[in-house]
Amino acid sequence: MKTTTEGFGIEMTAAGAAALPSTRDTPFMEERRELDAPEVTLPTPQRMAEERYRLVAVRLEAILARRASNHAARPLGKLIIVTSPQRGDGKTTTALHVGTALSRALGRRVAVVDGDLSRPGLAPMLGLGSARGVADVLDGSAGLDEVLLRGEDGGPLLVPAGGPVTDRRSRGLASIVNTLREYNDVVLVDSPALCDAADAALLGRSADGVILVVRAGSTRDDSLAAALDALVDAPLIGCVLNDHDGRPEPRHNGRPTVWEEDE
Amino acid sequence: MKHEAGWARLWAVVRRRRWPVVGTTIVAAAAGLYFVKTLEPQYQARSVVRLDDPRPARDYVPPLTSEPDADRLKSARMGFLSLPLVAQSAEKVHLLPDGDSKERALALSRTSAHLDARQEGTDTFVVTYDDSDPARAKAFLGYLVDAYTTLRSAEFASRAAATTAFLAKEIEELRPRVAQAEAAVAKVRLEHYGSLPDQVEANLRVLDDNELNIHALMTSVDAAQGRRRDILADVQSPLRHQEEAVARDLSVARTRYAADAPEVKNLETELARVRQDRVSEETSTGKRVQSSTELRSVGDQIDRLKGQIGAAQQRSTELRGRIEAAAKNGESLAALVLDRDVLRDRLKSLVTKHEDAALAAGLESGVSGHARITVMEPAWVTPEPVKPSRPLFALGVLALAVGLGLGVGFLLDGLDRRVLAIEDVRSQVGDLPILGVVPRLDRLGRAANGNYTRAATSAAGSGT
Repeated sequence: MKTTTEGFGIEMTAAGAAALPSTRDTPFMEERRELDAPEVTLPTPQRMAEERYRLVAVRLEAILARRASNHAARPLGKLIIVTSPQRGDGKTTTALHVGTALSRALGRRVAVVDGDLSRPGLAPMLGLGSARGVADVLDGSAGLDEVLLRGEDGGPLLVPAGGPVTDRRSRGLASIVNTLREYNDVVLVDSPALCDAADAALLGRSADGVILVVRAGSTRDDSLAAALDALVDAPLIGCVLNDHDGRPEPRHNGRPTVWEEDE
Repeated sequence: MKHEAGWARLWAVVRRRRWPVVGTTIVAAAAGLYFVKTLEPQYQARSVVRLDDPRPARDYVPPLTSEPDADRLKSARMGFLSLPLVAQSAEKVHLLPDGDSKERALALSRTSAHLDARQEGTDTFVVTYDDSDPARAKAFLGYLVDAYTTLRSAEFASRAAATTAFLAKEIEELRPRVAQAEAAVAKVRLEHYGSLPDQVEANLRVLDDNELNIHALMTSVDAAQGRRRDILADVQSPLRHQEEAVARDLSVARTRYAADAPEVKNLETELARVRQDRVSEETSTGKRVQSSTELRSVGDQIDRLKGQIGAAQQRSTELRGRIEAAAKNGESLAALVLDRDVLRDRLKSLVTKHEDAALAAGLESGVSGHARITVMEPAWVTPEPVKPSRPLFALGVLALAVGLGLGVGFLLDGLDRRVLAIEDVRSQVGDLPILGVVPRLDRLGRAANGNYTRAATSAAGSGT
């Protein structure tokens, strides 16, 4: 099944097209299918949530394109760190679904890496149990190509956290991510929560952008403030409010809501 | 951390805290309704009283201070609610416990709180009392009305008696002052008798008569003097005419002739002889007349008349002095008379008032309160309880319960430090874009990759 951006009403800007490696000329879907990686079934969110993730993906791509227009084009894919103030705020879910939306809806080559080695989230979400992943690559028990998974229907490449490791330095993770950036347009790293580790802040300094995931009804305001302080040096590009009760918010000070902006 | 406003805030709180809000509302409503159900029913005793004359005996005892009728009626209303009366009536129906004064004060306060008196029309009061025991309510209200009428009658009698005593004291103090003023006036009148203003007219009249008398006396004097001249004229000699004729001839001759002319010399000799003869004759005649009785009588009359004229002129001078002094005397007398009249009028007024007050005191002491106050409607009790109004109370309780539930919701929401809405995020992140708002996922959409798991595990085990 061939997936394109047509049908979603999304117009790619010239800047965006120049910033990201073009996929229109290269049949990367075929490329992915030819990749010798197991294909896994991706979770299917509710229709409304799926649409929201697609909108997040479009917006993210627009921001990346705008930023890239101001700098020299980079040969590597964009590195996006997904983190949150607290545990359980929905980093993994957001990273996976945004990555899926970028890949399926916008036709980008996307890799989603579970960077939370102490509390892996990607593999359990995919129902994979104790799949091998980043930790195995870091301790040398497996190669990167051995731990790659391929999302079905043109989904993103997936790199689970893998088994437990003693050395969790982000330098090793950075090397894996850099390798993935060579072959992907966007690499989304599901990093630990900022309350647990400084990995997100460290990775964020060398990333192209950081997405902060906030969970409605769970994230405390002081945690959010602390997270913003921790990311003061990182290229923070936006927030995703997760687990919202779904009702439209009132106007505040004449400022439109996100949905109105998008629509 | 909430940043909604107005009705949106209310709705958001209700939505977010629906279970605490609903739970609190239900519990509060249940408790309130149970409380309403257990409220003791209150019966109301009612009596209508008309004050036939809300004022004291005004015709007999003029009020010392001016008090509008409306204020009098207000004070009459307060009389029904006065604590001594309430306590007196409550004691009779055993509403007040024996012993502890604090408990008695509390019971009295409760009783007073259930009592009300409101004015209907210009002179009528509706007195009501609420109690859980209808018989007690009726008895209490009956005692209260009786006590009020008795007290009010005694009050009027007391006021009338006090007024009478006060006026009597005033009269006793004023009488000596009036007597003193009258004595002062009498003394002045006595000292200046004859030269008082009210005697000026008489003095003027006497003065006129005196002047007429003087005039008449002077006329009589003139007549007497004429008579004496006539008598004395008889004494003159006929040679006086001859002397005058010779004197005229001599004068003519001197104009015609020289002084030493014989005509002149002859006439001068003739005149000297005639004059000598006349003098000689008049001397002898004068001696004879002077000794006559008539001439002496006329002289005496003239002397007597002149004496009378002198006395009359002295009298006139005295009268003029009195008339001139009357103005000054009148001035000082008028001041004294004025003081005396003021005191006398005041005394007269006080005496009149005292007589009226004494009459009023007698009337008030003999008139019972029921003659002044008409109980138009004796105390009776409503057949059904008037309080509490259970539907109204229930509505109030429900409103309070809803308010309490909302209050709990707002409290919990205010204490909640979690991010709940987009505005909460915006307030924290400032200008940082919100890339998206993802609705709650009821279904996690966990993928089923069991086959892969087994395959991956086996692959790991085989080292591929």
